[in-house]
Amino acid sequence: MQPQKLPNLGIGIGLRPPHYDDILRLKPTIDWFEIISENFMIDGGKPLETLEQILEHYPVVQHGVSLAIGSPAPLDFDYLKKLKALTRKTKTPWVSDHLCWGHLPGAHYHDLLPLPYTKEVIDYVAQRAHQVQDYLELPFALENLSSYVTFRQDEMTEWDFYSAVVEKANIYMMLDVNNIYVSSRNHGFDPKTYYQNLPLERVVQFHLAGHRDCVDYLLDTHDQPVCDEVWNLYAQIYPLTGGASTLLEWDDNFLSFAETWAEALKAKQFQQSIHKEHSLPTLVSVA
Amino acid sequence: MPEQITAPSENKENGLADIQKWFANVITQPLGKNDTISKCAPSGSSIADEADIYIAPGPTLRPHQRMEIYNQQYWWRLLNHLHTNFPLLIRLLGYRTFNALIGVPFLTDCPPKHWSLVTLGEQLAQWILKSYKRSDKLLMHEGAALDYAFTASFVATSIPAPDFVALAAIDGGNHLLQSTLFLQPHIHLFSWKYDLLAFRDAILKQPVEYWQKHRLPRLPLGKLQRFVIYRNFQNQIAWRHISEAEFFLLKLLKNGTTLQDGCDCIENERSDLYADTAENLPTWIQNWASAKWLFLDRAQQSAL
Repeated sequence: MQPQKLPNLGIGIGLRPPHYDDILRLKPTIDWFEIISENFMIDGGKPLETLEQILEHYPVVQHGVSLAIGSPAPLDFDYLKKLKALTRKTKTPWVSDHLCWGHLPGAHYHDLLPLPYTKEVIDYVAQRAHQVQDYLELPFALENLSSYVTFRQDEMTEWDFYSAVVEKANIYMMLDVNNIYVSSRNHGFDPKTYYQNLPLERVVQFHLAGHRDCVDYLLDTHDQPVCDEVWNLYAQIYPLTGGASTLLEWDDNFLSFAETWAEALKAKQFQQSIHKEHSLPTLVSVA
Repeated sequence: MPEQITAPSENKENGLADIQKWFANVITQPLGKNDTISKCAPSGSSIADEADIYIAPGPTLRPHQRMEIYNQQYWWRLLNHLHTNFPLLIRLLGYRTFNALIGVPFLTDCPPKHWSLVTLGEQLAQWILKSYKRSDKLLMHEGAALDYAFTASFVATSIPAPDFVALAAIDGGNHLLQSTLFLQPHIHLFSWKYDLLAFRDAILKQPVEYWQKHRLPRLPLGKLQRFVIYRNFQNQIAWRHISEAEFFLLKLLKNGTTLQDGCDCIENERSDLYADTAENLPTWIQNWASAKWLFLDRAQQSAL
């Protein structure tokens, strides 16, 4: 079943406390903000007051980190109820979270833990993802992880697994280009192979971010500029999706708001090619 | 409620559930020397051998080295959260000592059970009372309770307050005296023999590293002092000294009481407290009402 085409909101950045004052004071022209849902699934206080002020001026999209769709515990409907209540407040056009697990009955690990790529897990996760989308009554997207392990039990590649989950569940993809690159280096695959085998018509949003080179592996840290290789990948993928909302994630070692926004705006130069028929611009590393 | 979906392979060896249980046990094991993964898995076997069963080798890392990344991320993320949310404690001890004496043992005994990290340190003050062995236990316990109160107050709900003017006008004021009132969830009450709030404010002016090289401010012991922490109209956490009588009455209001019953309790407690209450209650009520510190239960609110 073909997914419904969702709006391209343009370029956004993550809404983070170090930038609140600048945003509310200057009211800069930003296409949209992404919030981490759990930070606002609280009972009261300053975060909600700030969110309300932001909502007066900007579209907001919700992205979660605690759904842990592949966890063996039953779906937490107390959590989902709070999540849904927040979507009513933000009027987010879609909700995303990660294709991962993260808790067992009675324990939460507060991390995005990788799943083995098996048919059994596809069936399990797809059923739950479909259920979440139905419950939220909003388009629901799953994000590909940056990962540091693969399992002996894997029956297929990550891209086949990801594709199968979203197609079986009839949901969307929140495609993290930095995560494709980080995982490609950590696992030794070609990132081009990854995206060439995805149902890109299901991409509703992109994430772009920086990572740290730890010599033997790359670590997804969201605290560095986006590297040239990731920009190149984005330039290749973006036109194939027909265009989708793009977000810069920056979650630590914060830059000023203006510097963060300038980093995000670099995405524009890689989006121009969607209207051109000749080959895409490519950044060539001068290292 | 929608139908629950059963997790796959509950009893299948190396099925999803088996992998997840093993994975969780490994990543929650405290880190070893120099923050590396322990050589011994929780089962007692060699982590290298055990990881080899579940995890494929990578281009540059062996399976147990790949698991080390998740092991580190689990501990570093949770410890970092405690560092952020317990700013007094972390400055009193420094990162290394905090992690060794409080962070790691606490998280081992009380691992997170909730999807929200806000609740992570909820039991820390109690854990310190039970499990922390050093001579500064009382200060650590009280510091933890205070730090957590700031966090809890920051995100607590604020229940709509009644119109006290309207309430006071009913039945010549008797309705106000006899309505069961409650203290807002964002309000916390403390009593110590030192001014821990002023001490905390002074310490928080400097980063953690500063206090590793400089002497801490004095914290002189004295008579018991009482404080209230609350969230103001700017949604900032504020605090002030209060008298013993006001503290007594606010404590009763925390669990719900009528002003009539509260005053009766104070009268039975001590005459000087009652005298203070008799003199200052109208001012207190005015202050509490204007700060929206009190609320009625739902039934009474609807009846108004």
